[in-house]
Amino acid sequence: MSVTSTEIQNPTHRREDDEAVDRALIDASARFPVLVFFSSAIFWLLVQTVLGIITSYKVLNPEFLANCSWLTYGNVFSARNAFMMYGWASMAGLGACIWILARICKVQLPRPATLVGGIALWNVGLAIGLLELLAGNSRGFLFLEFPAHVFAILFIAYVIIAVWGVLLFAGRRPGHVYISAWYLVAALFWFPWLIAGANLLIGSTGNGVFDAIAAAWFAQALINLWLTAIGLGAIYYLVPKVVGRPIHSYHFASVGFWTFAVFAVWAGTQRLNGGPVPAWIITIGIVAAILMLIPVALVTANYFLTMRGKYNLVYHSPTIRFVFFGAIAYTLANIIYMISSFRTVGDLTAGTWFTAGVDQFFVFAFFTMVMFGAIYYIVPRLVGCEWLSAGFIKLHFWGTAYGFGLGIVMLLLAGYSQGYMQAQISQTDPANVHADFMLSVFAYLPFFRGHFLAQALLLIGQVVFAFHFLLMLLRLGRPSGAQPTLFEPIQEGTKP
Amino acid sequence: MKPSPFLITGVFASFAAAWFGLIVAAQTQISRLQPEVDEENETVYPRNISGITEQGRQAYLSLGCNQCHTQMVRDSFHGRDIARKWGSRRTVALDYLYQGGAVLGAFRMGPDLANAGAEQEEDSPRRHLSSPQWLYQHLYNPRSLVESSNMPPYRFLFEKRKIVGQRSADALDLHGADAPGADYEVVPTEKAKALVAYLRSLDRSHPINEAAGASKAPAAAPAAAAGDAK
Repeated sequence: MSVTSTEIQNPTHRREDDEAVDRALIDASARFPVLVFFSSAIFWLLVQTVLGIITSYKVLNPEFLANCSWLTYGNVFSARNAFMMYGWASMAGLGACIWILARICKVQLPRPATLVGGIALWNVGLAIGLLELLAGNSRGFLFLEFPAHVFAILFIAYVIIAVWGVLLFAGRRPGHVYISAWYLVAALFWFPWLIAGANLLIGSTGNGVFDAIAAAWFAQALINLWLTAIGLGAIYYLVPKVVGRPIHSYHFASVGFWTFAVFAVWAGTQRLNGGPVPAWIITIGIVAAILMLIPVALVTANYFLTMRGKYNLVYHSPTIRFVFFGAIAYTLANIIYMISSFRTVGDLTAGTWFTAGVDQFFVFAFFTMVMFGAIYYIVPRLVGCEWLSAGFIKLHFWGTAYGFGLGIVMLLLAGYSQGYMQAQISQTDPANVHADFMLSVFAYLPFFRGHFLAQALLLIGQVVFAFHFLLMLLRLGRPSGAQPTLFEPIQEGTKP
Repeated sequence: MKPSPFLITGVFASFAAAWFGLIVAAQTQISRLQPEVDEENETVYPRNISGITEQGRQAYLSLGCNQCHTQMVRDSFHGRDIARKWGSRRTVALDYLYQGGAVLGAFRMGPDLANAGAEQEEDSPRRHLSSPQWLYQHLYNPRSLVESSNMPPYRFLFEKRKIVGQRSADALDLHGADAPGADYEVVPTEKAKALVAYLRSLDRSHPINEAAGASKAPAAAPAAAAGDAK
């Protein structure tokens, strides 16, 4: 499986079939930009992990860094969310997207150095954005924190990057288009509309209620139409590759895609449950969240049927282990999302940590884990050596799995207890209604000790990952040509 | 077969459907709102905000107050906001006619502020909100007034300076560890003054037709809300 640039110089090194040479040429053309994507993504991943620790600790100890006007809770919290989305998730997603599209469409990346210009511009936008957010210029909406001019830079950078996506897709060989490409092309198409649309809409009426509606829709649309689409595209590519058999049902995949495309665009407004919003807007969000279970069920069924009989790969293959975690998280995230969107549940959970927990379920437990799986798969094919140490990958996996798992469970529990206490009120002592409210604060604080511990685990995992990735960039991995780096050696008869 | 017309058209159509069906429809409905004019009492609600209040709104968003405080009163069908005396009625879209941006807030870690500047009864648990001095001191050190609060202090919104001549009228009355020492005083900066002016301006208690049904009879709330859709 491991085809690298060495085969270009020495085609007799391995199988001489054209396909391997093709793949090697494609990988060689994509090497520079995709590695720049991943390096940037991992750098911002570390930044957002540190911001996450600070946020978590500030909840426990409000005096922490309180006298620094750059590091108020509001600024750090905004920056954390923005860099989780635009720093880490979007850059990793774009890198994986470009590489997988090149592989599926069997097209070499033209002029890779120019594409790097687009990535550099994106990074410039993020750096300016970080300064703006810490200077207190956040717009205060989830995933819309950056001021408009930062989004303008990101948008231009995105258009440059997306040109390559279009070139790859348009240059594909005639015939059948694989399902991954559907998701990836759709994501590339939806993202600029979302970004431009949301930025034009916010403030268009001067009414904060409309801004809140547009922002709530945008946040969920970005999770669905951007991250989920890329994540599912990557799962549909990686799982058949590593498992070594085609996806179970192409029919499921196709129906799953179209139901996803039709339902996912409507979800999101139920975040404003109970707010001063016309009721039909919230109802649409609830209906969409329920209908989303159809594509989710189809994707889940397809995934598990494709994996059938090959679950031992979860023990062996790093890629499959991360993707397995992500695929299960995707299903669970959607179920929790649906349950929390019912009005009766939403009355308790809206505006609590629960919402943040559900967002992180999508972005971290699902998307990020799938991207880690993709990076473990893609990078050896680009740099020409295998990951140095299975131990490092294990450490990364367990730090991340426990970190995300614990962190998200703590947020969900914190949010539920917070919402539960907010719904209680002292009937006997009307003067005490404020003290009653404080009980909802005391209800979530203990869970934040667990949340803080989770952030610390995450930092360990991500530092190990970044170091391991750096070794790969420096070509300090194990020599390629050997077996890929696995947790446990695989018995005869199975393929890595 | 070069581009895939089916894929691109389908993806575009699905997006356009939600865009027009949800977002443009919401925009049309909300941008149609007009202030309510009561000709009998010669009142207009809501009034446009300007000057120091508008600066305060910007400070509110810039400091990230909205990351922990909401400005929305849910009806008794959806929560205990009215029982907590956060407002006499639920808030509706009209209340935010001149309040753009993320003022609604996404998280409710602290109490709601939709009516922070509304008139408070003598025995109300929120009577302190009527006092600018209390608000300043609470911003300076929340735990000096509310022992169990977990709100961060915003001391950088204040300036410690040597008293020249007479003590300033708006100097904070600080005690204990916060006391600035003899000859010194702590005064609010312009930003703090704007923020407090904004908080004092938040009053969504004006009776308006749209919310009338909901606040009087909680059971009628869903019906009233459904009426909004039409």
